[in-house]
Amino acid sequence: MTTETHSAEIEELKAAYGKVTTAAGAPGQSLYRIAKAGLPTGCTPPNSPVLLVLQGGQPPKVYAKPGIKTSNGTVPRSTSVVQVGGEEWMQFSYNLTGDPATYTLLQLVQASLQRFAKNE
Amino acid sequence: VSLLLPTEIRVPAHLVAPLRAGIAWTRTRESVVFGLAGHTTLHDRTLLLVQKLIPLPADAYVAARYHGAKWPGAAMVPVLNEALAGPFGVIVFHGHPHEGAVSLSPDDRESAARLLPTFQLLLPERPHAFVVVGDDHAAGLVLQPGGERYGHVKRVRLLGQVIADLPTKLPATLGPREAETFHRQELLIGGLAQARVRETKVAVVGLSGGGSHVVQQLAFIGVDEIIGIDDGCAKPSHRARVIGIEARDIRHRRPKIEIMERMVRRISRTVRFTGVNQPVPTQSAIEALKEADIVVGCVDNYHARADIQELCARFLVPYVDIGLLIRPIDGGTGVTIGGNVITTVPGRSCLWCLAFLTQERLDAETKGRPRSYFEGTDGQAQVVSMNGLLASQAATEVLQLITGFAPIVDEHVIKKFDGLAGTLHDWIVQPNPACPRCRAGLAAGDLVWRAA
Repeated sequence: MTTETHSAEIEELKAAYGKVTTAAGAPGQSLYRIAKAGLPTGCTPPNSPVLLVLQGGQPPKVYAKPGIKTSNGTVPRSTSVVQVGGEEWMQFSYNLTGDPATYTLLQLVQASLQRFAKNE
Repeated sequence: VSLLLPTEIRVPAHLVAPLRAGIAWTRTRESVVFGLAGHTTLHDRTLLLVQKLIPLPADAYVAARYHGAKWPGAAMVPVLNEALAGPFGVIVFHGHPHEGAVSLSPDDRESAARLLPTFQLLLPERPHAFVVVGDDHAAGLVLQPGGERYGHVKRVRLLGQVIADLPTKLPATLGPREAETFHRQELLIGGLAQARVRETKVAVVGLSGGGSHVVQQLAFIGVDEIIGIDDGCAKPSHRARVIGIEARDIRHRRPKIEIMERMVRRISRTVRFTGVNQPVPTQSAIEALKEADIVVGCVDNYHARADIQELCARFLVPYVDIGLLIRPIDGGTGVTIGGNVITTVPGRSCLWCLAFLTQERLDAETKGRPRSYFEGTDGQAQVVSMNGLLASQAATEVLQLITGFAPIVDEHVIKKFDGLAGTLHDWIVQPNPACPRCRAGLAAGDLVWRAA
């Protein structure tokens, strides 16, 4: 990802979600935090902060805040609490169709959060 | 009120000697070292966590009568550029080389009043400080984020095999009743050291076979506060190894933190116990760990150790880890009983550079999958007497870190337990000098979030 496309993708995130902040993580790591991203209908809470971890040469990682329940009230499976930069985040697994490298950051966030549409 | 919390400055082990050397006086002037620091805010103080030191070059000083040291603003440009890139707080260190209390001179205060607001203007998210360091005391002024009034430096903590605190004033000595209680312990460590013990907060992560022993002994040792972190409840197998447990605790499935709190209360009315009924790395557990002066990890998996290690490096907290592993020998001809007590001090070593934590070990716990696939270690053997031996050594390591009662050796030593031979041996280990984990998040403190 070039600096230009990266900046454009961050602007796209801001346009979609509003407040986006950034912090320096470990060396070579950039962190982006979306203050409030909407979750699929029926989830509680209806939105969550989302963390994007960008590290050169690796696919971006997406985290949400722990405490999300799916529409039938269950705690999603295959999630775990991890710490990133000294803060608590929820790691969760998600399926992407096609090549993840072709996803923009916005598409990646939207697609990964669809994991919570599944009641499992 | 929160803007005027006192500040503790922590210096990781590898920067202690450079700091002392950097502020040593020349024949004609004082010397100045700039510290770049992360920070975090605790309930009773702010921590400034030194990540890097930049001495002011010798040719940057200008001659000036009536000033210990004077330099032009341009000399600070490289320092401020690095601080902006961090972002870091900026600490101006200089020395007053004598024993006893030190204080900022009127000239120092004037300099602080000029420099700190400038730093704050450039880096509003971090605290900035002006500090004088003596042989055994320190003092200073701090400008907090968003603050206009100056707070005070409570102490400078120099990390090493023994934690060396340079306070603004010495801790109060024990009252007659406490002095009587700890008389026999004081015969080993001394009265002043017992007063330091009395000010120490120790977090214990994991309150089962190992952690419950550690909590009990820390209560007897007389620390200020024990922060117990465990989200588990009493269950039948705990009857065989959790110190302080009672039959009714099993019936009521009482949280382990409540059992520990009761035990501490029965041992001492002066030692405080704070329980966190959450596992590491939930936010409440992270916040609790940050409050600790020393962390003792009594966990049974490498993922938890990796989290504790990272947090201890980030907030500059010494970490004592214990672990016991009883496993059958291949072929079923017997068992091996091995254990470790490993003390790591930020800036000196970590569980990664000692090769105790490896990616292979983490992957093995989850079979290479994400952390949610970790299945626990309930099937592993545990024996109370062996847990107790390792826990006793961990409590002794805590005492050593606070008081330095035992001679200090230069080598990196870990304690290896052989449960079959009944021995606890020193092993000299060689940390990986190029350990990428050791320094990656060292002294980073809280993240600073800025608009993207």
